[in-house]
Amino acid sequence: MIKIKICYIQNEFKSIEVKGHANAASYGQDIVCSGVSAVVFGGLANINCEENYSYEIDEEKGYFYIESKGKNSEHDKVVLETIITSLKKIENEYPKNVHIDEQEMKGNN
Amino acid sequence: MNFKLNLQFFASKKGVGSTKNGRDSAGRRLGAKVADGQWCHSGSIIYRQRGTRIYPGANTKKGKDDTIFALVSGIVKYTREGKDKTVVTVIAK
Repeated sequence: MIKIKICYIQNEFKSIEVKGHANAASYGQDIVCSGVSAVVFGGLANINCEENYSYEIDEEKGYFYIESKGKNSEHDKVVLETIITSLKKIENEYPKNVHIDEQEMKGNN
Repeated sequence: MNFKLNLQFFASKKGVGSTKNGRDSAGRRLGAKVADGQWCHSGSIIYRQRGTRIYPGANTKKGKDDTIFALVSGIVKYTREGKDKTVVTVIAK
């Protein structure tokens, strides 16, 4: 199962961690995994890294983590919201393979 | 940001392979059909085997599939001959 943890601070996106394996089918035929990969990597490729919004990223096989290091630009908010909405759609369709956990963290962004 | 899009990034490597095994033939029910000291009719099968685990002795014969059967009615006797040879005989009664 792919476990997705999304953290917010004061209702603003802070980090998203995606880990695990969908195990919906064998390697190469796993449509759930490809859906999640496409949404995560396709979406995050559109994140704005210029200006002064920086992100911390950690990526290994079957594990991906991105954390926002400051205020999110409006553009990035829309992109992140789109990613999260898409992931929730996948979770609805494949509850056995994807689980999303959203948390509100204390502190300031 | 530039990410390499690997659509199987969250797929597990352990694929569900297929196996070419999984077939087996039914058991041939070999072995002794009449025990030592038991009475048997003539012509009845005493021991089913592949090859000669048991050798035919007096009043017994080996069929073409190595089955040993009785030539006369009587009591079955399994005896050891030599180091590792077992012989079955029928004592006529």
